[in-house]
Amino acid sequence: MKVNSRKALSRLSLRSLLASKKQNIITVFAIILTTVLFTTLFTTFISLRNTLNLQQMKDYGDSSYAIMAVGDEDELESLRGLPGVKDVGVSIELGYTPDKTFVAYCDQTASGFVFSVPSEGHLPSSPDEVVMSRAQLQKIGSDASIGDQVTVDYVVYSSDREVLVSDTFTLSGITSDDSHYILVSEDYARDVISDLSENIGMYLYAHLDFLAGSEFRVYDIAEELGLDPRCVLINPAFESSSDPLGPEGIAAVVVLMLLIFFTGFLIIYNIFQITVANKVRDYGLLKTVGVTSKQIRKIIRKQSAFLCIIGVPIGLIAGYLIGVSMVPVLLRQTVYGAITPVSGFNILVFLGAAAVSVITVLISSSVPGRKASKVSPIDALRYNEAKVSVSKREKVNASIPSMSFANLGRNRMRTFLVVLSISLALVLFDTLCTFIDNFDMNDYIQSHTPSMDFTVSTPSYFAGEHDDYLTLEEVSEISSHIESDHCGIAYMPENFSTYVDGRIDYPAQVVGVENELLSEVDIIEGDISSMYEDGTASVIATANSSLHIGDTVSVTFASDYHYRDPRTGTVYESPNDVPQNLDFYDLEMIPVGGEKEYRVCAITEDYPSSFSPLFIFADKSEQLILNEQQIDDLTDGHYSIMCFCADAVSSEAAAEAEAYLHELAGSSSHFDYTSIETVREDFDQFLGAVKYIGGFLCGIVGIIAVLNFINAILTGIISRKREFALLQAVGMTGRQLRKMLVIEGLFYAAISVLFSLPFALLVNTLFKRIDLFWSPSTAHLTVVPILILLPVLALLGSYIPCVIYGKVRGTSIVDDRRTNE
Amino acid sequence: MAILRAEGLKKTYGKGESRVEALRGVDLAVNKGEFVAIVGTSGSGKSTLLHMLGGLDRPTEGKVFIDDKDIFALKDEALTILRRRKIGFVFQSFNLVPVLNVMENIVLPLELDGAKTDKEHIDNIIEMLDLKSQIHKLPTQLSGGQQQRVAIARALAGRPTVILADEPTGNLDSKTSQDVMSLFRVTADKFSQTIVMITHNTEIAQTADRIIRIEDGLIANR
Repeated sequence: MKVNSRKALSRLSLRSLLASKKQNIITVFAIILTTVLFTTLFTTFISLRNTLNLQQMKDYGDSSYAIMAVGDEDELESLRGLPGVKDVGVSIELGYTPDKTFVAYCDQTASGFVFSVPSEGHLPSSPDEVVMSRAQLQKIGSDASIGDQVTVDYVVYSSDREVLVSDTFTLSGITSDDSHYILVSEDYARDVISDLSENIGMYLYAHLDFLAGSEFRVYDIAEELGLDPRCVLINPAFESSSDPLGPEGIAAVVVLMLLIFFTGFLIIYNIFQITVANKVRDYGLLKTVGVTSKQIRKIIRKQSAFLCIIGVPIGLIAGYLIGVSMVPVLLRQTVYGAITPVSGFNILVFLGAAAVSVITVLISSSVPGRKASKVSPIDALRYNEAKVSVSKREKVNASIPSMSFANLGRNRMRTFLVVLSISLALVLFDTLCTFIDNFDMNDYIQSHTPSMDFTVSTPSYFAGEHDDYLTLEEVSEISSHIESDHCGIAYMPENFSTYVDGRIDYPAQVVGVENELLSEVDIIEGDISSMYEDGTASVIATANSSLHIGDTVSVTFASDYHYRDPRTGTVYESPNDVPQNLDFYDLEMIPVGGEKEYRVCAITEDYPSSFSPLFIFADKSEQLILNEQQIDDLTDGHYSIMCFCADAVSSEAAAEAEAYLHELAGSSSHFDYTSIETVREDFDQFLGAVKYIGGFLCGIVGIIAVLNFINAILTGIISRKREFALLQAVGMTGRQLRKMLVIEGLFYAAISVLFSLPFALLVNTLFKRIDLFWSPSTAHLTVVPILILLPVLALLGSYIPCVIYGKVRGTSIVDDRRTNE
Repeated sequence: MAILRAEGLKKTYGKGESRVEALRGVDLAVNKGEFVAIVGTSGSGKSTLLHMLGGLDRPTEGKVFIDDKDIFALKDEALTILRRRKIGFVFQSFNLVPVLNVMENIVLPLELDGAKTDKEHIDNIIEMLDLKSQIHKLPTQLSGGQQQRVAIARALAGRPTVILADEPTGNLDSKTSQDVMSLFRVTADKFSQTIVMITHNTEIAQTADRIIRIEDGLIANR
């Protein structure tokens, strides 16, 4: 029969909850902490992910899920209103400027997708209007304001020839620098297209955004419209393989979550366990008046739920604020150090963190709840926590320390949990200290610093983008400010268009260096003396390549491409020669251009850190180092300056150069550099973040440990008040009683330290094997941090029991005896 | 007609040397409306007997019937519910829920059962036990005698088949004890309430209709 006892149970839950305020404060605090930890973790995770994800989109230039090249207006129209499709933005892509900025018409929706909504002014509405970013204006050497005239030169997409267009517009709006687009009006775009009678290929694009979960439909939609699946371009930022945090990041989050879940579980379980143990008698009495086991479990569940209602919201807010403040610190560790973090505010984060906290609380309270529900009313009538078995009692003598020690054994589970939680904090602290201690600055600098004092290039080079280069004039100006006896320039072919054996799928990564820099290459095998000879064919290969000493390699620098039909073997020299009925997608591209043959004379481990091409090529690409003459010959002069490297003659000269470069990089977005000083700053920043986050974690786990300890002592005292009164009645002085409690506290501290030492060593030994941040050979393990904490623990262990005892004892022995009856 | 019956009740605690036979085969029958006092010295097994009669503890051997139904044939959960509906308890230490006020304590078993409280019945009880001015007080604000009266009121509230009272005057002075015993007497008469009370005080036991003496776990006379 279902009975409606809700009112009675709610009243019982709430009243008995209100009756034990001290314990509840600790429980609520524990719930807050657990929620803070979860929310912080989730907020940081989501915010970091959103930020990096947005940055990925900005780098890519589009935030829509996919771009679909459509044939005509009808196809475009049929896309709108399809189930699952949230938004359709339209763009007409005309071409690109020499610096690879797209020129296009975008409707309101598409301009939002491509980060090109004007922050000032409006989108172009008449054919003579244009919208650009400040950075784009700067690139064409204009400082125009809205209403001013701007001339835009660009190349129209055309499959047969390059059509150069130069038009003058009125600037109608200015977008943020994230925009990769110069926007024109629809009328202008259509005019350009109709003026070009030739086939200009695909120009009409739909930028598609889907309702969550419907993204998979994109290819079906293309098929329904009769479009080739290759007309669909999925935004790489949405591809699951490109999660910005990477598998390691996600693994770290999972491990952290488990750790927090365990810690939260530990403390809340402990508190409920102790609370329930203290109330066993009450529960038994309720059973005598007819409260069923199920109802007792319900009472405890209601109490936990009520405590959650108080604790969880506070935890959510605090955790969110902490999480948000942590993101910039973490971001500084990524290549996106300078970007503004995106808020991690997401209702799902809140719901998720709240759910995990509530689940933690419910799970941790259910075990003690079940225990309470199983109490037999008769046992409850007899229940006294101070049960000591006969055999145990024989061993106990009446000295105060032995009484204290015996007290720890009364509730071994509680003692174990307290010891475990203090140990957890100690081990974590020790690991953090060992980490910071072993983290060798010189090691870090050696592995992160370029082999030479200074490497100067553009920010684009350091970001691995390679789309902005220094000029020879700029390099000579810079070198005139660095007093150096050893410096040189490293070059790279334009557009990276170098291939091995003329195969498009077999790219070669080529760096050409001035002779001065050849000595910087660490040779592990072979001899480079032949590279200094005029007209030499000798080159250096890296160990990442498949090449060996003596191998001959043929490298093509592609100035043009031919198209080959793999079915017939026919080669078309120009895209115009390709018959109409053939699809470009079905053809193979063949790089055509100057071809040179080289012989590998030496092998190096990797490119020297001072002039390594930071752009990562395909895994199977061959990596070569050529001399200056060789790269010039290979590319026929089509090469760019990758970077300029220099060693200063003295430390004074280095300081002067540092000051000059610092000023230079600060004053212009075209220059950037690395030096020991910049690496040192990175190192400090990294270590700062480790300390900040590690310290935060240690602090939280430490607070939890102290809370657990306070709780154990508090409940230990409350549940034994009657016994204390008895002890005092038979002559134990208050001083002796306090002494007993203090010794008990000290035992907790001592056992925890002993318990944590082997664990700390174990964790650190495991940590030591990770050759990520320190060199395993020089790393040393330490438990000194734990030993340093010993006096703190001793102080807490003796101080907390005294304070608590002072707070909870009654005014007289009679009083104390009565409270427990 | 026996409304409460015990047959061959045995209860043994412990094993080996520490084995204690608290009850060694008790047969007992209590009729409807009867007020029975079980007397015996400390350790005679009277509390154990009462716990068995009320289904608080299971016997090692033997059966207890309430309304001719074997209560130990029930599972724990069902037994608890039976206790709630058929038995009212009054303990020496009152066993009131400290966080609930007098009224809430009295109606607790009813509310736990989801039953509608019979206001008139409750008012009658409150009036009879002279608790009207106390109903909003917490147990700690009451004297021992008043607390025991609340416990009696709670036991009566659900119109139980039988009230089991375990040394109900054990914590009270002699004047209050007399008052409480008169209340039990009135209750038995006015509501035809079956009451089984254990006490070590033969004088107190005189209030009952029948006195059963228990010695060393066996009934000595009836």
